[in-house]
Amino acid sequence: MFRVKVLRRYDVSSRFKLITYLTSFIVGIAFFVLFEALLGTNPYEVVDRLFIRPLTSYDDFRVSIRYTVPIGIIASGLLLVYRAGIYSIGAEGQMAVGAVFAAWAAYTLSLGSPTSVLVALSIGMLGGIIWGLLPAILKALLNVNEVLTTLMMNFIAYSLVDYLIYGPWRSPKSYGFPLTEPIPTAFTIPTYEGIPVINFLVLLTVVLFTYVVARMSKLGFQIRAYGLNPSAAYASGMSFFKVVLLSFIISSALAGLAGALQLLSIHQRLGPKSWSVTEGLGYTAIVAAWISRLEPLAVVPASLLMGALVNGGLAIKAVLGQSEGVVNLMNGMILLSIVAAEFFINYRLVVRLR
Amino acid sequence: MIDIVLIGNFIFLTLKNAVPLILATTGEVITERSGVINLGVEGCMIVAALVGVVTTLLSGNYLVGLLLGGLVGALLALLHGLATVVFGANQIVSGIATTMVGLGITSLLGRGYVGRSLLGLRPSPLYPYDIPLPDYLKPLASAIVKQDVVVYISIIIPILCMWFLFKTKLGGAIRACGENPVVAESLGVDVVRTRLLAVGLGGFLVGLGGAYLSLGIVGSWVENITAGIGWVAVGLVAFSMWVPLRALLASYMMASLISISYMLQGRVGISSYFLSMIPYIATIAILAIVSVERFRLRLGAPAALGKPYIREERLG
Repeated sequence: MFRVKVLRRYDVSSRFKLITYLTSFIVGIAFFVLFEALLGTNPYEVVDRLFIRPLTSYDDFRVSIRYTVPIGIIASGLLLVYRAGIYSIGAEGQMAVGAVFAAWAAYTLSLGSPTSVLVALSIGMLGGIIWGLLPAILKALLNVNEVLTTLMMNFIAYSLVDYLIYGPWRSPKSYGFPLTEPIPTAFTIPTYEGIPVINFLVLLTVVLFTYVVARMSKLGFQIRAYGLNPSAAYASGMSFFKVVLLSFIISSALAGLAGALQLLSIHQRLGPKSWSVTEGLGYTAIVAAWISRLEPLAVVPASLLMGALVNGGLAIKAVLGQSEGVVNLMNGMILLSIVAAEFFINYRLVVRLR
Repeated sequence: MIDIVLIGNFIFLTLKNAVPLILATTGEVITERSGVINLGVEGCMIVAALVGVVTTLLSGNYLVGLLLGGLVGALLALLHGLATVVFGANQIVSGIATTMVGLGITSLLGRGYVGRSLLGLRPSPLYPYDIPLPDYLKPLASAIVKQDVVVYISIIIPILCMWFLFKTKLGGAIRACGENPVVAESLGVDVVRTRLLAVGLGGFLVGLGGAYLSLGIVGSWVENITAGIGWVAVGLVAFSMWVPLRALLASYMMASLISISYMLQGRVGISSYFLSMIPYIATIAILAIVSVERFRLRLGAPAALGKPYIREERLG
């Protein structure tokens, strides 16, 4: 008979960690491809859409970048809260409300070109913060489960957007579709050959910002302390209230910023599901944050990768007539296998014959 | 003047809407009692809802649909169990991933079933006859008596789970794993096996609830049919203080709110989009209230909730 023993690993090399994570990522994708194959999709086609085209085709790359930017900006914020051991999944709703606030600014304020965009982006960030504030305060004061409250805020945000696009903001010129008017041109952010270059520069700035906050600031140190050992952090006099509130505010402001950027440069109007500004990217960013191992600089490759995968997933959906669920399924499979991979870094299995 | 028909309608809807909540909340109570949080409830429910519709259409039998729905609920929950109990993965992230998988799979596979109605297959009420009562009481009585069988079963299940958790040896083992897995192991309980069992059993009940959602309430498959009900159920677990009977009570409370928000649509001057926010807002409120209560009464979650347990061995 076999007997499997679980042994703890000590001093794991970073090379081994990297190999294990990459392997687990590939395993997650492999399960996804296998599932698609079971549905009758040609597995080569799936791999082609997910990996080969985004790397070889300029057109695909241009579209991928549109997803990369919001995923990266949101993931940068999320990794701060995740580092503190707070599991916010509210980025999707904060992003949606950020877009709503930015749209409000665009429809009501009359400003000249560079100021208008800056004002709309700031108001979008404010919208994100407002949406994240209730879960943040409840967590900071009463330790209310933030997973559930942030998720509920997402559902409420969806309803709010639906109310606006089916109700007061619905454009009479949209041929019956629940879409709002395009935002005034003064508020749009230009793209170059379809590439949102400015947005990408914003992403790089955000990554540097979170790097400084996470690695060099006092707040970043306190965040890490709470994530690693809450009772020790509390005992050494660090304020739980401050850590929760500040990390939450930064992450929801960044989610709001991502929503505003997507609205002003890519979508330029609000719409229902499948034309929505968020496109579920607030959830994809969760996966990107964990792929980056909560390291700020690793967010750039992680979001490039997830942007390409989202683009590939949506291409599979469009070309092969599948549904929105493609991206969800892929995200879930990747996330599940990378969290389970932690085991193989901390432990090893010894199989013995008895 | 109180409209008796309206009240009857409200009671009928509440009893029905409570079923998925009762089953899912009770299932999650069992799972969490063993020390494992399953945030994949939403995913388990939606997969079960689809499988329920598909198998009922194929077999023409509701019971088959419900049971197979429960079974896939258990299977998906065990995927989460494999990651968290066996591999000690982060339970929160793994649960979120499980929900993503569930939402994705159903959206992909459910396309061909959208709108295929099951009306002809509705389960018969327990008491299909006319009730010998004065006319003004009839709506109330029939709201209670003319429900399908699952509504009554869903009331019994939390009572059974009470007995299972607090009176049987296995229930005691599950609770021991949730309070202190190290001590449980030293008392001869196989923690990994017991936790997997609790995750599977909980997932089965969650799956039953999901299957009832499509079979009993909506009557067909709709993409994104759960719309957060699974997450609401996870919130109700905290409100129920991990006691199945309180889960029953909490579910009826939430179901009455959901029914009210249905019935208000078109009757009052509030947009239906705002009315649809009611269950989500109520969940946040409930979580806030229960946190205050917990501080005051010092009632707590199972002590080892969310903490992975891996039995290590040393070489030798």
